[in-house]
Amino acid sequence: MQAKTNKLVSLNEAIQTIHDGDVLFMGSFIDSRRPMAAAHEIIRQQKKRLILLAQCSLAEDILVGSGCAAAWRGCYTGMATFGLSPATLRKIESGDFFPDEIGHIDIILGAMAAMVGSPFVATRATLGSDVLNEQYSRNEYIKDLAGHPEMIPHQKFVLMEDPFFDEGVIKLQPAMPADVAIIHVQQAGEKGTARISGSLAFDHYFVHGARTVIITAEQVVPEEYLRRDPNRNQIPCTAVDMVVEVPWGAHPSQVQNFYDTDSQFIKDYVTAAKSEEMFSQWIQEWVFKVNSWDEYLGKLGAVRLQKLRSSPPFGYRPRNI
Amino acid sequence: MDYTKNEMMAIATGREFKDGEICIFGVGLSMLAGFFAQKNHAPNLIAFTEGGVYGSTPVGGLPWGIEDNRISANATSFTNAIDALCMLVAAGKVDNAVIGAAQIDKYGNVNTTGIWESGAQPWKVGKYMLPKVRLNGSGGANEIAVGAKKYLIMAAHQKKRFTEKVDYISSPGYLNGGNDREKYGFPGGGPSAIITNLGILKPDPVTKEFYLDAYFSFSSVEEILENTGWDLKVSPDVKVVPEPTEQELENLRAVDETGSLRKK
Repeated sequence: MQAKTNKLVSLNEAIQTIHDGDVLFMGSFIDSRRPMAAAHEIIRQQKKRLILLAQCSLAEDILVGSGCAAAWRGCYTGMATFGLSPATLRKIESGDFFPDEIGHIDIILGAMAAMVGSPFVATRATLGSDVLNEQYSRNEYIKDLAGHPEMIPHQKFVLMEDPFFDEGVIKLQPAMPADVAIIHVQQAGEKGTARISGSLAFDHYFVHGARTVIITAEQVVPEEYLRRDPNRNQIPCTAVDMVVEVPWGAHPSQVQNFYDTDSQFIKDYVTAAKSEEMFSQWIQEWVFKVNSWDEYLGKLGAVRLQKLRSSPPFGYRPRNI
Repeated sequence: MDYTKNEMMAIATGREFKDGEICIFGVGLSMLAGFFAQKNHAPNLIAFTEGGVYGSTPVGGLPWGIEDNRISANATSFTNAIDALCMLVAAGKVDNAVIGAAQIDKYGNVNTTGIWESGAQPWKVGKYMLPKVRLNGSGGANEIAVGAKKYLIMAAHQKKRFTEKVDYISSPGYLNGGNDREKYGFPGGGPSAIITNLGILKPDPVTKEFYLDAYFSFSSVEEILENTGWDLKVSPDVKVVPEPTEQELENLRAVDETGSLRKK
């Protein structure tokens, strides 16, 4: 890739590069550093038939509930302390959303294979489980659904005998590339160099296995500033196509050194999303009746947001202050 | 003494952890039991999560998630999911862990994916059957079941959960019993106990079928048999689990700051 000198775009422009039927990876875990502003914009632009990877948690659940996503390949449909992912559960049970179970390490290793340009890796993860049961596989259907079918393997897995150390049966796990990866980070430069603090999850793998990488950042800072401490820049600019500055862009999830989880907001969402009707009302209120992330933040209000601010030296907000 | 069944379950689970062990915990009951052990009798227990937090003790409240910055505040390192799950769990370096179960069978196979039951409807394409109830998926529990040297399973003791055969194996226990794990070369040894809100089940050393080893003082062998969906064998030496000490309760309640286990 040519190193473009300036990759800064608006959130609207960045999300316009996502196509119906794309395989989409949204970064980090569950309720930490989730690309929520990007998810809202995807709903506003009414993308369809997206195929999600890894988890259906906070950022993905609103896409599933809004009908933007058709299928998912991953291992987790929950929100940790906040319960299960309500819209995802509803849509799976009604047959309107199609899960294909893939183990956690399978996902990580699949991302790694995509990163290094290898078609598969080998692992023992999920051996003996029903992840390998044909009766539950939706691999073929998801391949048909994909805008780019080449992003989905012909087979979910292949078992073989270890040819190197004679350690018995081993599973070949196909690469898990993505059309688009959206990662929310603390800081990014205008050329795409990005800095994360807290868990990297496996974002630093997926950015190299995706065709298009969108970084949303709490702060856009000069590349020159990031260069002073290159060890801390886990995502190199060559992997990144677009950078969007979105302060509070992961609300209600937490971003280390910036803000903590808005637990009440998540609890309210989880309650609302359990029914189709209340979910629609929630989406109207928080996505369609606000025209931008700025308006969303305005609706939340400065008082609510400032109560979430991280306090040094913790990186989050201790509950007793 | 005044305590709840869930508090007894967490304390009985915590007692299984030894000082100095490397342990991986998930959110909720698992962390409560693990961090209770760390506070109570295992100060050198090295706790980590699949978010990549090593050597952690929560500061400023119990974490909401496995990557919550609350557990990283005083951790020895905080890296990524690959380090945690692959380097430690998949490579067989984890001493002990806790996983939860929505459904569990007599060989310790765990279902956290979905309930199909009879009368499940086929999905419109292919052979897939629609689940009656979708659950949270395997998360990182499958990897723990495959890789941890041993692990504990925590579950509410109900007949519909303790079933002859699970609808879906999310995390393999002893599969069909005996040496069945060997055919997959799992680095880990399998579940060492099932700890419920009524008592403790342990695997037979040969058949690997779980039997009733001990019950809590507020329960009984009869109550446990009534709430188990398979023909549960009872140890001839079945015993009563010692009640929590005052110190144990104090330490547990310090960890369970929101009182989630005290709710009846």
